[in-house]
Parts: sequence; C-alpha cells; structure tokens
Amino acid sequence: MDKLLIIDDLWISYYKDGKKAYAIRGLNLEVNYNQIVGIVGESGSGKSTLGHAIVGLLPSNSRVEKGRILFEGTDLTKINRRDFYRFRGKNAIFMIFQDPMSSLNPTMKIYDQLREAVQGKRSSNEDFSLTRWFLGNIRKDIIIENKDIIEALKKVGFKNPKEILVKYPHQLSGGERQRIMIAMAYLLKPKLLIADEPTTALDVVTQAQVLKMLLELKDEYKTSIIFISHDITLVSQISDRILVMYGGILMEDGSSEEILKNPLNPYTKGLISSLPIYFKGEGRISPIPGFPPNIFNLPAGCPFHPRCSSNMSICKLQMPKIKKIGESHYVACHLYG
Amino acid sequence: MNTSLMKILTKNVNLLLGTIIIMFFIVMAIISVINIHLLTRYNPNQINFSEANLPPSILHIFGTDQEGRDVFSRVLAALPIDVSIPYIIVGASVLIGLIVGIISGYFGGILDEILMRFTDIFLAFPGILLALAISEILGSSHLAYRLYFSALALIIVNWPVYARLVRGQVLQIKSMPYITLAKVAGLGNYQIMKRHVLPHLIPILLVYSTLDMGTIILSYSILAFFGLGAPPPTPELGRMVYDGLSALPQNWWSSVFPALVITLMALGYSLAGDGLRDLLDLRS
Amino acid sequence: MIFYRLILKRIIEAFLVILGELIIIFYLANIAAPNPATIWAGPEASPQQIQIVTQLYHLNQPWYVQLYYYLGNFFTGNWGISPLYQTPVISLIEEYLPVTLELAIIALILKVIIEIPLGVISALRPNGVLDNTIRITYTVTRSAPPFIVALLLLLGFAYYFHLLPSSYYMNPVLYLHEPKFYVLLFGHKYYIWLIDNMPILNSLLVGDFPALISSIKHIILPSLALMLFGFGGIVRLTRNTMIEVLNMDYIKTARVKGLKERLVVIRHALRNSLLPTITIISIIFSGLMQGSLVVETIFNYYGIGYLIAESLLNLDTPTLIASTVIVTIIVVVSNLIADISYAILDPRVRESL
Repeated sequence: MDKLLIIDDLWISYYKDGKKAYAIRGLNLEVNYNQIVGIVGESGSGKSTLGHAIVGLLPSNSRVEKGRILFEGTDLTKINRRDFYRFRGKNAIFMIFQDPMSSLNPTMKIYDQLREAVQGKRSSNEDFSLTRWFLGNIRKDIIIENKDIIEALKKVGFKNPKEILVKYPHQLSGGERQRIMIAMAYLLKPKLLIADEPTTALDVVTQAQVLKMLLELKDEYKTSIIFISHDITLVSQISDRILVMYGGILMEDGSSEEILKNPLNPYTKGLISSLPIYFKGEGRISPIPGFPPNIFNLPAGCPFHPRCSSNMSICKLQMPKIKKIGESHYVACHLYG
Repeated sequence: MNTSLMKILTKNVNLLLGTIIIMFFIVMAIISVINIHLLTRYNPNQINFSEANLPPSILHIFGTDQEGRDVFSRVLAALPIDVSIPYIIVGASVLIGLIVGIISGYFGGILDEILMRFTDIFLAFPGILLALAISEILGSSHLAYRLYFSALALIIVNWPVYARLVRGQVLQIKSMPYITLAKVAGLGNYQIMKRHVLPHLIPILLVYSTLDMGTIILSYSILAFFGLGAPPPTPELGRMVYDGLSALPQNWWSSVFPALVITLMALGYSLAGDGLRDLLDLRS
Repeated sequence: MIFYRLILKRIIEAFLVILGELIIIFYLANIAAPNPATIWAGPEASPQQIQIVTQLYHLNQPWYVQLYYYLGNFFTGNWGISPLYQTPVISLIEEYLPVTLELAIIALILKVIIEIPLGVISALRPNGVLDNTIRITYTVTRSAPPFIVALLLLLGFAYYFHLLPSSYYMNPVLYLHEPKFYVLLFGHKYYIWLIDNMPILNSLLVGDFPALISSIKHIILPSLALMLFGFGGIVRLTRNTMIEVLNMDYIKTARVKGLKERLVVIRHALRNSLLPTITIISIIFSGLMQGSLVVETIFNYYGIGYLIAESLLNLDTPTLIASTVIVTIIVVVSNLIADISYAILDPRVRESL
C-alpha cells in the first residue's frame, strides 16, 4: 500500500448512562508518508476521538462499530489491547496530548521517562525496580549518560540538557513539558505522530516553537503528522491537507490552499470568516451563530443545518454524502449535489 | 414523609440492612430491660453447675457456660449496656469535637494552633491503649464505677478525631463567599456559626459518627474483655468472650456467640454508615 | 541526602509529640489517679511498701518536681518494678516486646504482599467477581472484633484439625535450650536483646533449625488472625487509587510510547497508586500493635500485647504504663519512617516543605 494510514467508513459510538451516541459517523481519511494532515473542528466534532481511536486508546465506554483503520495495511480495529503495543511508539504511531501538565509521570525523573522512549519495546523492568526508585530519588548522580537523549533535548531547544534530565515534571513549565513530549517523538521516530491540540494550553511564542519543531520532525525523520486543533489558522500554517469535522462527520477535505482560498462547505466558510485575520477592516466579524451540538442530542440530517445560513429543506432529512469537487477537494454538503 | 423515607431506604441496600440490624438490637435491648423473661426463661445470673458446658440445643440456643448459665440469656441481659454505651460515647465525642473544631477552625490564630497541637498529641496515641490505660488507672480504686471511667476514657480518646474532622470542614466552609456575605450583613459570629456553618457539618458528622459507632462497639468490647466494663456479675459481651476462653476448646460456644453478636451489631452500623455515605455524599 | 531539613523537622516534631505523650501519661498516673502510690506499688501493697514508693517517686512533692523525676526516670530506663512479676519493668519489656515486633512486622508484610496485588487485580476488572467479593469481605472484617477471627482460627486449625499449635510462640522445651545470638567484638560477646527475644530471627541467625521450624509453626495462626482484622482496607485503597491513576494522561503517554500493558501497569500505574497506601501504613501498623493485645491473649503468645493484657487483668500498673508508652513510641517512630519514605518516593511533597 502506498498510503501510511487509510480510514475507511469509520463509525465510533459512545455509551453514557445507558444512552448511545455516535462520535464519528462514516469518516474517510487518507494520510500519505511524510505528510501533515490537519483536522479542524469544534468540541463534539469527534476530532479527539479520532486521534484516540487510531492509537487504540478509546475509553471503555466507546467502540468502533463499523469501518477500518488501516495502518500500513493492517486493520487496527481488529487488534486487541494486549497486542496494540506493537503499533505504538518506535517506528509506529505516537501521540502527544493537549495538557502538558498531566502528560508526564509525576514521580519519575525526566531522564527515566525519556529512556523508556529510547528503549522502546525492549524496555525491561531491570533498572526500574522499587529499590532504584528509592535510591534514585536520594542520590542525584544515578544517571547514565545517553547521547541520543541529549541530542533530542537540544533539538527541542533545551540549552542545558543535563540539568533537565534530573528534574521532575512538576519542576518544569507547561511549555517545557510539551517540548519534552516532542523530544520523545524525536527519540521514537514514529511513522505517524498524532498531535491532539498540542498548543492549546501554551502561550503564543511557545506555540510557534512547537510548530517549528513538528515541521523539523517531519523533515528530518519523514514523520507524518495528524495535527488536531480547533484553530484553523494554526492548522493551516503547518498542514499539507486540512480536514474539517463537525458533529462527527467530515465536512470538507482538501489541501491547505484550497480550503483557505476556496472553502466550499458553509461551515468551513463560517470558520474562516469568524477569524480576525480575515477581517477585511469593514463591517464586523461574523461568528457562526449558535453552539456546537451535544453528540447525544444531534439534529437529524446534516448536523450543521440549525446554524447554517444556506439551510435547505433537504438538510434536515438527509446526511450529505462526500463528493469530489476538483482534483483533491472533497466536500459533504447538499449545496453541491 | 413516609413515602420519601421508604424510597430512600429501598434504593440503598446497605442503609436498609444496616438500619434493620440496628433497630433489631435496640428493640431487643429495650425488651431485655423491661422484662427479659419475655424472651427467655432462664435467669442470666443463675449459676447451676449441673447444667454447665452444655452445647447449643433447643433448650439453650447458645448453650451454657462453665458455670451453667444460659449464654443466650446472658447475651440478652448484656444488650442494654452494650447497645447504649456506644451512643453515649459517640454522642459526647461528637459534641466536644464539634465545639472544639468549630472554635478552632472558625477563629483560627494562636487558639487554633494550640488546640491542634493538643489534639495531635492525643491522636498520636494508639487509641485503645490509651483508653485502656486511662480506664485502668482511674478505675483502679472504684471498681464499681469502672464502667463510667471506661466510657470516659473512650470519649477522651475519641473526641480529637471529630475535632480534626470538623475543623477541616470549617476551614473549607470559611472560605466560601456566603460566609463573607453574612459577616458583611452584620451577623454576629455565633449566629453565623449556628445558621451557616453548622448545617454543612451535619451530613459528614452523621456519616462519620455512624461508622464510628461500629468502631466504638469494638473498642468497648475490648475494654470489657479486659475487665474494664461493668463489674460482674452483670453480663457484658466482651467480658463473656474472655470468660469463655478458659473453657476452650470443649466449650467454644460461650466465647464465640457473644463475639458473633458483637460482630453483628458493629456490622449494622458499618452498613448503615456506608449507605448514608452513598446517600449524602453523592447528592452533595 | 537531599532534604536534611525535612527529616530533621520531622524528627523534632516526633520527639515533641512523644514528650507530650509522656506528660499526659504522667498526669494520668501521678496526678489524676485517685491514689498514685497504689498505682506504683500495686493493689496489695502493705503500708510500708506504700511509704517506700511514695519516697521513691516523690509522690508527695509538687507536680513539677514529680515531672522532673518522672522524665528523668523514663530516659534512664528506670521504669519501676512490676508488683505482679516482681522484676524491673524494663527487663519485662525487653523480653516481651521483640516477640510482638516480629509478629506485627510479619503480619504487616503478609497484609501488604497479599492485599496490594489483590487491589491491582480488582482495579483491572472493576465490579468484577473479585472486586465485589472483597468489598463484602471488607465490610465484615471491619466490623468483626479481633477476637472472633482469632477464635475461629484457633478452633478450626488448632483444635479440630490439629494442624497448628494453639499456644506459645515456640515449643517451650526448644526455647529453653536455644542458644542466643551474639556479636563478637574485640573478643567480647555482645548480646542484642532485641534479636535475642525474637523467636524466628534468633533461631535463623543462630542456625537452630528445630527452633526455627517450631517458631514458624507457632506464628502462623496469630499472624493470620492479626492480618485478617480489617483485611480489605488496603485492597480498596489501592483499587480506588489505581482506577483514578489509570485514567490519567501520563498513563496514556506511557501506552503510546509502545510499552507493553504489563509494564504500564507496574511501572507507571502501580508506583503512583502505592503512595496513599504508604500514608496509611503506619496507621495499619498501629492497629496491628493494638490487635496484638487480643490475639496474643487468645493464643498465649508471650508478646507485649500479652504483657499488657496481664497487667490489665491483674492491676499491674507500672508495667501497663511503661508498655503503653513504649508501644506509643514505636507507633510514632513508624509514622516518622512512613512520612520520610513518602517524601522520598513522591518528589512533589518535598517542594512544599
């Protein structure tokens, strides 16, 4: 197969208090090698669920009902929990999360957590025993130097890597912790990295740094990245392709340029025109009226129709199907047939 | 009012079961005090060596002890004390702990520091040991009043727990905006404490004291075991267990049955406490 | 070491607490008691004995003088004479305390080794059969007084099935002939009383095999009885903590690094789930020491619990007081050790001190 990741007609359900809802409905997606794909959506769009589903981290009240997730030809939906580790980490799929404050184990030194990434699947329980936990916390010098780790830390911008190694997560700031996660990515060299809102909790300067590091990751190790965010401008800065999701459905799928210059779906148009950057200095910013839906309470037909200015009668009744417009531009909307 | 109570009870198995057990023992204790012969034909203190060490049978449900006394009647006769003393102990501990805790938490400052240091020292003692020591030393000369000294000892050991608990809660409540509002509105401290702080303490105190009843029943039975309870011949569950030890192994029933009754009593409060906790904490 | 200040502070606090407790006991025994002289001389003391005791403990002098002598006596090991055994209290404690320490430590180790894995398994299958069984068991063991378990075990294993012995910590015949452990320093034999009186440790170190077997056989039932009191508490705590921990982001990170599930659970989840258990371990140890009172009485196991029981039943107050103080000190020290261990294992705590 030429493609790194193919998602085929994916349906994912959630159960809560005995009620069932769909977080993702009929999603199709392709990711090439060495490509950055951005996924944009508000809360409830299913974007985060998608990320977790790919890496096998769906919570216990959620299930893949239909569809396939093909990673280099293997259907990940058929892999059980115990064997999934083969498809994670080194040379496989890695993920970084939104909240850097809780992504690292608070009782382990940074060095140990990075060393796990280096060892990958060969990690054994040898030097992680209880006694070493005790001693390691008392004596500062029980650290074996490792060139790869120091290199990775330098790449993510730490001027004094050796100092960072002996620290604990709570001694670092949010931005520093997120950079540690990216350092992990450098060490693991995954084929696919899923970045779930990696910059949402960070300040703008750190945000830019993180984006730069992700681009370097792609360039140097040919890692593909799925960049998930609610911020379409952010996504457009780094992605080759952009997917727009709403209410669990793929609304539009095209290259960065096409999406920004020629948005087809009313929702996409709404997203773009609600941004200050595109505010042309006259009139007002026009946010999309209304609020994103609760997945347990989705409207029938097209999930966006209650808020859509181009609302037609068919929109209430039927879900729009994805149609191809232009070479690599796809859209799901009744306006286009 | 009846229907909502019934609804609460039926939803929560723990609470239901626990309450049934507690009520059962209270009823039995009351009957026992009024007229024990409603339930048994034997005199609990009647020594009768010809009937000694009889195993449990239809005549003697729990068998007889080494001195020929019917164990079941003795258990019944022991109930009034063993059922009511824990209430006194827990009640007094809660009262003292509540007062100290509210004052300490609400007013803060040096008073708080001193009171907390004081309670800390008490808390550092292994509870039962201190109670045993106090009760033994104070009661050494007046054997007849040992019961009261034991109760006092348990109260002394137990109130710091409540003081800490209450103080913790008060500190949390104190930082809530409506307390400041009340102060600004001109309410006096006493009024604030009574109308705003106290109601919030009730759920947690209720849950904790119910669970504590179980613990106190156990602690008191240990004190009684070592002879620090009511003077003989008044029967007492803990003491009966000790008395029966020398008859082991042939006569196991005179120790085991009282111990089982203690377990059941404590179980009732444990279940009720758990049930209350589910009920109250989940709601708030 | 990294955090001298923390350790020092804790040690001083512990010392102050012990001092406070000594004062409370002093108040109890010398001031609040209806008749302090009887307390120290025993209930059957003759008037002359009472005179002697009053002189000895300065009981007719103002409280601060008494306190001075009391504390002095305490720190020099002069803890009075037991009217019951007619020996200095301190030698009684030397003889009986290590036995209980051994018993309690073994019970503690058993508890931890059995309950923590059960907690982990319960967390991995919440609301499963194991989980619910343990929940119900815990409700019962929490309500059962220490005697019932001891009694049932005693009756079952010792008397009906004749599997295990029913009293003493070792076959008395073997004990009498048992050599004592000593350390050879500069040609002198130094006997360590702590080890001397621990049946299992002593026989292990000395190589007295029959004694070792006998003492192990004798410790099984009491330690089981001690361990079962409140069994399930650590299981529940570990289970609840672990369920919370497993939902944390850093567990997701660990998984996503490619670690096998087993490693994720043991290396990341378990580590963080053990911390609350360490917090309550000294409370559990304190409970074990208190439970030894009843268990040792029922099993005739000559430890400090037995000593306290005897002194209670026979109004031997000096022994009672000294034993209570010693056990309290041990509990405070165990609390200290647990606190310090916690600070070593959880780096976040250190910053706030």
